[in-house]
Amino acid sequence: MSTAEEFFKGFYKENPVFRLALGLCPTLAVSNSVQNALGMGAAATFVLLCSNVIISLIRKGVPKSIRIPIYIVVIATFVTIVDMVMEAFFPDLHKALGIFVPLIVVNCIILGRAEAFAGKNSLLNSFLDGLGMGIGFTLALVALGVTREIIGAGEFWGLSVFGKDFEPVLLFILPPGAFLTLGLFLGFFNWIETKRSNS
Amino acid sequence: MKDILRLGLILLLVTAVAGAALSVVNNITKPFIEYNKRKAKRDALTKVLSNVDSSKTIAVLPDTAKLDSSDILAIPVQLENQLYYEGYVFPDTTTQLKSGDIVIVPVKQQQQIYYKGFVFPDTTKTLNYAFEAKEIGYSDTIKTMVGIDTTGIIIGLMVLEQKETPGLGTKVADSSFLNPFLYRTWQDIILGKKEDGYIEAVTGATISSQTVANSIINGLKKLEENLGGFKEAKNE
Repeated sequence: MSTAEEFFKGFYKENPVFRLALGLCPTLAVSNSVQNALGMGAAATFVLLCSNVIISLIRKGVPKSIRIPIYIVVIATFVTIVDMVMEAFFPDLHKALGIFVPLIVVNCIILGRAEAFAGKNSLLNSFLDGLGMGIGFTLALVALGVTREIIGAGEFWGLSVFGKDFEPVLLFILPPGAFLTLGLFLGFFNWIETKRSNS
Repeated sequence: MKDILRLGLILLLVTAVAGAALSVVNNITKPFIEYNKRKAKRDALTKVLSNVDSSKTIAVLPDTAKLDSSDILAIPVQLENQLYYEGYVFPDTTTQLKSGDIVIVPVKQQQQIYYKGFVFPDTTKTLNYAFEAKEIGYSDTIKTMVGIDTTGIIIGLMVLEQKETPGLGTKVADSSFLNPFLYRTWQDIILGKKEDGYIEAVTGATISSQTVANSIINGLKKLEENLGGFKEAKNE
């Protein structure tokens, strides 16, 4: 795979949410508005990028049998440091993203990429993989966020879309709406892929 | 056996490095985080009590006893049953507070901490009160700073801390939910339909909305008790 492909594969071909079905827990939880989706995406991309770089750097010194606990320690440490530094020096940003940071710890995309990619590949490729996967994750979250916010709240970025008379389908910003929307999106992309492989 | 020991030691090394890194970062960031929290509280206080003359200095004493910040301006002194306030810019004790400056100080009474605003140096003439209302909401404690005038009418409020469901419960911090609370006494805080003159709960976040309302009502009741009743509202 070429260097450019390592970067772009996360956008669609190996999109973590729609193609690999990774990190569904935070996806379901925070995709109820565009703003939340972007916030979570940005925070996760940052952590993914940094954890990929660090794990790629230490990959030769890590014994195979205990790589998972080591990855977890590295990721958890990193998330905590990001959280503390953000709270101390960027309080406004922390106020906006603060609720997403603890959720990143349970985001299996980070551990998934550490295990599947960064632990075996060079620094540059791991960096591009982390960035591409992060952007792919953000795109997926925003796609869900736009759909759910417009249908469920009648708003886009907190601004009313249809005017006052529109009665939003509240279900869509509630948890069941997350499952419905994600299911439809997954089905749609599977349908495209099946059609493509048949022809 | 030898292998287990080797792997254990490597893991120990990694966790020790991680632990050390965390404690270093914690030590560096802690004072900043505490300062930010105090600053947020001070900003909230001056915001909810914004009907006071904001051109005058507003001084706020943190309820922690640590005096390490340069913008602490007044300290209470207890002397033979009488509480009075000595005002200066910490740590510069030579710059005294001017007469007419507005000072906000915390008061602890019956396990409630509330804030009292007065015109320096006349401590007897209270301008307004503020307190932190808190109660456990849908996911965690919701903290709200509430400012009231001496008759018990809410003059300002803002949510300080909440970890409610993003996109639903988080909307209790929006002004569209909070503004209808203004100019009400605790007896008038009832959630219901807007058309009937009640405060409308955030759609899909009834528990979070009710928590905010309840915490304000309970805090106000307690404050009324501690003050021995609010002043009668003047009929004009």
